[in-house]
Amino acid sequence: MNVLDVRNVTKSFFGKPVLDGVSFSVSEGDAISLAGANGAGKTTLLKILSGIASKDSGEIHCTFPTRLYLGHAPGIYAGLSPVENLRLILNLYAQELDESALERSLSDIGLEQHRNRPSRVLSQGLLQRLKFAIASLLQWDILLFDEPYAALDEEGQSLAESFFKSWTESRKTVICVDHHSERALAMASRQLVLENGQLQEAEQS
Amino acid sequence: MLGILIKKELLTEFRSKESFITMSAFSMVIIVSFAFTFTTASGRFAEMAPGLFWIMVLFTSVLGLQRSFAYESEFDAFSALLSSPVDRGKIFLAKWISGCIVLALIELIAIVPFMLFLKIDIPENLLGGIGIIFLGNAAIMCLGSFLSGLAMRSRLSNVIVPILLFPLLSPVIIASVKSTGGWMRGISFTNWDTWIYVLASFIAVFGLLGYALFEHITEE
Repeated sequence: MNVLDVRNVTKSFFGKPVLDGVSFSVSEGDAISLAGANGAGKTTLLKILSGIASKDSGEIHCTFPTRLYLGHAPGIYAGLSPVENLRLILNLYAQELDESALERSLSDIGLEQHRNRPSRVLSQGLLQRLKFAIASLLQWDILLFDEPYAALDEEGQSLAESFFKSWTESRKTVICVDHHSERALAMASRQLVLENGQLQEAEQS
Repeated sequence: MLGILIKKELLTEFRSKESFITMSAFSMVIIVSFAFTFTTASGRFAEMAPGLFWIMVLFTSVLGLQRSFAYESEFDAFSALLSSPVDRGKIFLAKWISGCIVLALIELIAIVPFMLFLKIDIPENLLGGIGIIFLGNAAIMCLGSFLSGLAMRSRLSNVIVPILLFPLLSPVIIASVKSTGGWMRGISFTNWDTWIYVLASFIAVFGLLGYALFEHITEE
């Protein structure tokens, strides 16, 4: 059953088309890797799917009520601590706060020592790890993750891979942008490639 | 949800205290400048006081608005907020209400030195004055939050907000000055009630516009 249907979506910036009739469907449990060169429109597509950006034309039907978008930027409040940000995000999604789960998620990503420090002072790698804590704490139906491995060290990358493994094993629906093609193919059940504003399904070997 | 958003706004503000310190310092500088610029008798100060007070509030509020939206763009927290299932009209309301709260706190700090430095006697009917200041603050922050949201995605947002805000707020400043003057001089309410209706109408129109359109103006 399709949970997300995208039909002929177009988007232009200053007259230059970035998405030119993009169409695809997503079934429940799909783990999709979105590939393409820099500037191909991958981030724009994720932002449109998350509702942050508008499309010029086309249709999007999503049966999933809870979409979680994790973009390039940390997407949290710099003046608040990781704990405060996690509590706030749970509140924004109107989800119950489980303190033990919150502590566990911080411990899992190696942020327990930084739990009460302002997020502003955390490194890019730690901020990237915090996104995985958000994704593990929230109950989401579809995850839209833009470059999940960016700024992560080796340990962080292994951690990220373990998160993706657990999500794919539990048949969660994920769309992520990853420039590392081998890793993306290993994680994904499908790979979509954006080129010249058009989306094509790559053959899985 | 509105309560959570307002709490978030106030927490981010009072955690860094950036707006609070900047706005307080700026208002004090304005007051001291006024005090040393005008060397008239205390009776003349009372005549000018409404205009001076609302000039101080106007410029101070722009600083607060810019900081409030700067918190959103620092780590692109605004995108995360927009992608959450929160009614965007409530995001506007939270920005508006929290802006009014911060501005009221600054005024609370500034009002004593303002009256002391400018040698202004405390007028009667304090509640009337509080009501006028409440309406003036609400009108300034309403349009300010709306325009800041509109300019959020622009690289020139720090320039666009004051350029659009100052001329559009002219009726608010005129109405606030006129009603504050009427109140301070103890003139009967019926002689300046029109200005209160101007303020209330402005708040109603831009409050509704902001609530209804914030979803569209914040989209990329």
